[in-house]
Amino acid sequence: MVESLLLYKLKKYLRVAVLVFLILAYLSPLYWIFTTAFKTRAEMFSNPFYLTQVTLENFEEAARYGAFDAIKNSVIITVGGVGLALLLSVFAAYAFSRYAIRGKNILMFYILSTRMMPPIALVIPIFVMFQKLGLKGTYTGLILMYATVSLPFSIWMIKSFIDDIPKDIDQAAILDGHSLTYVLFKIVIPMVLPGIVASMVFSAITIWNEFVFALLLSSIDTRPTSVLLSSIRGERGFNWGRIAAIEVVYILPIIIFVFLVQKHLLRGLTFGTVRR
Amino acid sequence: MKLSKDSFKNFISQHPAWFMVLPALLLLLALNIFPLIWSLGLSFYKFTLIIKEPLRYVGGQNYIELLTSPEAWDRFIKTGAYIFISLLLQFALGFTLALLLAEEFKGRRLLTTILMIPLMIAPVASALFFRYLLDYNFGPINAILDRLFGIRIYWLGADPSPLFGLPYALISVILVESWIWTPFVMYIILAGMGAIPTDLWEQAEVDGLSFWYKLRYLILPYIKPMIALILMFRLMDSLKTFDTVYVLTAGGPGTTTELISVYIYKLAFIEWDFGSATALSYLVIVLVIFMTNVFMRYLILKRG
Repeated sequence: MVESLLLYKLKKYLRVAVLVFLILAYLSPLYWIFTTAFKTRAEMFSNPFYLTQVTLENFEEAARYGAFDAIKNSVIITVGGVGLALLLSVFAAYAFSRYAIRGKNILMFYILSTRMMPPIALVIPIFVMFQKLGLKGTYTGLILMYATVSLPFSIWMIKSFIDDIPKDIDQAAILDGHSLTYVLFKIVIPMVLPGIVASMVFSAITIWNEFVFALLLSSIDTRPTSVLLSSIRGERGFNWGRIAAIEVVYILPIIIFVFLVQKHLLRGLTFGTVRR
Repeated sequence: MKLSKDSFKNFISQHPAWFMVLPALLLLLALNIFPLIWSLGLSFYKFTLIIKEPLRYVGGQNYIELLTSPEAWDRFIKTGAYIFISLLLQFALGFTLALLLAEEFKGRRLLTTILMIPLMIAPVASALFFRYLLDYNFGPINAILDRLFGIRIYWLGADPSPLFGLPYALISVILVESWIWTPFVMYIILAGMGAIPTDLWEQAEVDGLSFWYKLRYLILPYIKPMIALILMFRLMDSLKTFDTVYVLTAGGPGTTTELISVYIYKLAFIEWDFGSATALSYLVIVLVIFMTNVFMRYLILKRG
């Protein structure tokens, strides 16, 4: 008995040890991004494994390279896209959740299917359209595009949160003589606020990371960070310290978000089909 | 019929749902549905942006050309091989991680959260950094291989790898994509295992059932619908793979890593042949719709 208990414990520790090793190996690229960003040029090539001397010169160089303009563009586009999508999707989600809308199933299926559509298929006609309308290379164009792309997801996600609230609550308020706007803004929205925040964060991350639309619809002045990163070629090959520095500024906010809203992210990734 | 302000207000209050949906619908119509219909139209024309050549209706010619072009088939086959191997790898790794993480222990929550990071950071950022990690001269991966086995590999080159002779560059794309997506597989499998009733787990533990027995008769039945779900999402997303390839290899060397999305991009924005590019897009869209239907049907059957 004692022996088997010992064996059991040993097995358990072994399992955790294997797991920790796997995960550390798995996450080592992140370790490299963060150490490389603070490495001196000399150490980059002489010592690929550790960081002995911390420097900020990579960040200074990244700033000279226009990294902060790109970050600024990313912020403008993300905030604009998320804001517009949120405004439209709260109303739509409430309507889909509470009313018998004709063709609702078809609409919901369409909304889901946009998740499946390859962005490259959509960007070709949009490219021509934006060129004709003068929207190519503008913040407005990018914001409209990103709002459209995140709409289906936001509607779907916020709807799934509103579905969790019993209908009786808003019906009771309407019977009490409150207007629909009152019910929506004073009762429903406060109750689904965590869901709204989760879907906002999720849309924000998607827009922040997006590449295909950004590559083809932005200009040199409006290009976000993903496009800047993809266009980096140094005069003599790659300046990895500078790239790592830009990447740190680019991915750090995302990593913080992951820790803040982690329990909703899976629901987002699977379009609400899996909840934890 | 006279439309007064009052009757308008009346209409709104009688159909509030439509007015709440309308703004969202209009935006989707303008920047999603209309462009897609328009590009379906374009796929039947010869249309290019560089020379001022008038639109020319060519019927199904773009489609026929694509379906008979060895180049397009080659891209489809490459994409198929890429999807097959990356899904296998992601399943193997994701399933292993999920099994290791299935039981509660100290720090489990932290570990599962940290694993979310590769999924959430930009694929462009990951791919660009893997270019450094996989660099022939300065990359840490070759540095480790060199120290351990005394070999260096041209990870982003066209040399055939031991894996079905696929070029190393394609293997690298598979590695990077799998690095990004393995946690996704892991999370869904974990969620599926979470649905196994605790008393069944405990009973299996008390009965001292072997690991394989538990896997076959306890875990697999519960995660079967999850596997279908993973397959559906991963197939769709893999078909869309673009960012990582663009940054890691730009489709090269030669055309070794030119997956279908990259090929569409090249047709449209390097050869400026919008007709063929939209036609190929539609072939992919039809494929996606077909696959979604198959999986949806399976999932609905399982649930219903």
